[in-house]
Amino acid sequence: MLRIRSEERTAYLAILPVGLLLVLFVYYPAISTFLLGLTDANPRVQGLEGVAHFIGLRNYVQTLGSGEFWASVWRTTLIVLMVLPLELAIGLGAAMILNEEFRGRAVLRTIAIIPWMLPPLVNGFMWSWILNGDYGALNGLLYQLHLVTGYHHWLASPSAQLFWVALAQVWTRFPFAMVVLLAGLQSIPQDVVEAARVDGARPAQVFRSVTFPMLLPAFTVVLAVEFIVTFQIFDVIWSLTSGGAAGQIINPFTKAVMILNYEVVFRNLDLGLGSAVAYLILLLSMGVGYVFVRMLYERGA
Amino acid sequence: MKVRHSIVFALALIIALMLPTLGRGGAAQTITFITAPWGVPPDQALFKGFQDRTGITVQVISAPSAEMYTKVQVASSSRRAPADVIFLTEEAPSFVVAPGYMEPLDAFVAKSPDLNVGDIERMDFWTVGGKVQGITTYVQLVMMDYNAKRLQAGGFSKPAATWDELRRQSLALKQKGVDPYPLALGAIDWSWYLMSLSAGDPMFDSGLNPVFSNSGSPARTAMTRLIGFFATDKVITPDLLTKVTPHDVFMGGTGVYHQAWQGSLAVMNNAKISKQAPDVQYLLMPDQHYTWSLDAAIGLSRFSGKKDAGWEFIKWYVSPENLRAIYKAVGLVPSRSSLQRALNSEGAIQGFDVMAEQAKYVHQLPRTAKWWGPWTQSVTEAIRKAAQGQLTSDAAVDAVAKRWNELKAQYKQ
Repeated sequence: MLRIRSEERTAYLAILPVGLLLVLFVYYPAISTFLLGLTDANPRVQGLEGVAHFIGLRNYVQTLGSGEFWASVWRTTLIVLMVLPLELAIGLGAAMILNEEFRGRAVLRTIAIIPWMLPPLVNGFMWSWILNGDYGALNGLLYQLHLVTGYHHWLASPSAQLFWVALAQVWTRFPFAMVVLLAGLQSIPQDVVEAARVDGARPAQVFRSVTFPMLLPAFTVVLAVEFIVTFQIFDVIWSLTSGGAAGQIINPFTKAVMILNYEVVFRNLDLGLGSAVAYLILLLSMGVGYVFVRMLYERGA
Repeated sequence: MKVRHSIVFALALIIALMLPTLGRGGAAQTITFITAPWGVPPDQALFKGFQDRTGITVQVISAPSAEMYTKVQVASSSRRAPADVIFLTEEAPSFVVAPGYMEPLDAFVAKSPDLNVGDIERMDFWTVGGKVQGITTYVQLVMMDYNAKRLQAGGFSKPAATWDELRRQSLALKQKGVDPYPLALGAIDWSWYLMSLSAGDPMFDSGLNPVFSNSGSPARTAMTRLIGFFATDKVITPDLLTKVTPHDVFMGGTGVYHQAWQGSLAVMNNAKISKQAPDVQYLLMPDQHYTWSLDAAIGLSRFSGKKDAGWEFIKWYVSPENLRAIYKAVGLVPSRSSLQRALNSEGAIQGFDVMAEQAKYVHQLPRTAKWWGPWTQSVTEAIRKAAQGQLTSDAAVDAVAKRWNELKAQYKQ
């Protein structure tokens, strides 16, 4: 008995630091934020000496009834709908190429993950220079190839802004999909593939009937992770279309949910309302995340 | 042995920790200064001279203005100093001064006759609640300038005196191929304020009610005109639908007219950085000529623990030498009257006469209202939506008036 208690004590001691860190940096802020969301806390309104008041769920009701919140959810959804298929397609294509044996494969694998290694802010700024209407590289390239006769303002219209944000996000994130899918491809037993080939299956049939079904768990992981990452997109928008470095102005056309949350909390100091918005974003993310995780478990089973 | 090792280790640690202090004779202090990029002391030799002379090391934190306000607000609202010294620009009266995050400087000013505060202009603007919140560093009317040579190429010998004339000239310049985008105005709040004030709209009454939304107001006409410049006349480059300021577009050679600032000619006529040089001149604002000013100041955080050292730095910052260096580097007109006169007599201030004339037509916007910051962001959003056809210009004016009243009610509750 004594021996078991001692082991338990050791186990508790071993997980204590992690537990404390979790309580300190995850659970306490999460609970504190939830409680803040039930108040009208705004230091600019109440002043340094003022106190916030308990207002129940009014912030949630206000947010759910706000056209701006739902517009930002819609914009974010559009970005997600553009990013996920494109990212998965490019990631899968790149993974299949890099799964083949060829000279220089190791170098290419390293190069391919560079966009993922760069901070998203850097990627956003890079794309803003590429797309600049006056001196952008894209205009320069198309002009030199005689594909355009004059420089084009790529970020002029709201829909174009959303499209380019999605594309920059795909560029930033496709290596993640590629790495996970590459790992998935490498875990597929070669004898199964060989057996299909021996049975006379063409490459497309091998992919459809063997490779793709066996990759589905990896796809689900990528979908779940990338949905959450894209739903919470911030840096790329900030540096590409939101005024970024110069700006006191938040561009309304690419105001995704996290940008809206930043504006409410850090620009307006509306801490109560911002906390409620944060929880609603969390609930939305969790809802879809739950569906993906269920899919993952069902596939695993 | 163990004890001896511990003692040696402890002594070594104490010496290592104290060495930096001993090395500076125990008198050195390090303070922090948070500023927008254009507030960084430009003359490094001068700056180093101050630090060597006083023993005060100044760590400069340069951040875009919005980021700077965020840092200041978040830290101050939790009663911490975001930095010892804070540069106050643009929306600072609303974001930083009005909530009470700055240390009143009256006592410091009173014990510093060497500051010669009587020489510094617009101190009244930074006196909020009867207390001095910052020392003016530069004075800045929002103005417009134009490229006289290119205007001449369009067949116009004089700049426009009314907004109607400015529109006609812009369309003609476009049609004659002088410039496809003859106007460099951003799809931002400033453009609308500038056009509204200049057309004679006071925008707010003394009770802070938004008179700009009155039926038939000049501000409504100004909004329609501004949106028309983007959407129908297409005399402004689409790049300015997303950019924050029109300055780099103009310096890059696009535009004949440009939303500028007092002192902009020093930059726009610098051939090293501007394709418009050397032909840029100021124009007196069209119609009723009114504009507003965006003077900047420097002050102490209310929560700083090093206020005396911070004050020494502030005194140096607004010294004639540093203000002259700033004017030379970025064209910001110094707040010291004596220095303005000296620079003018040296021929260093271009367009002084127009600036002096424009200074007679200043109508301040209520930028110390606590809700000004959030409101002015909503103005830009409305302008951008209208420029993209998502709102009519009247609906944009109504939306921002509604937003003003909502915020006013929220902040006065």
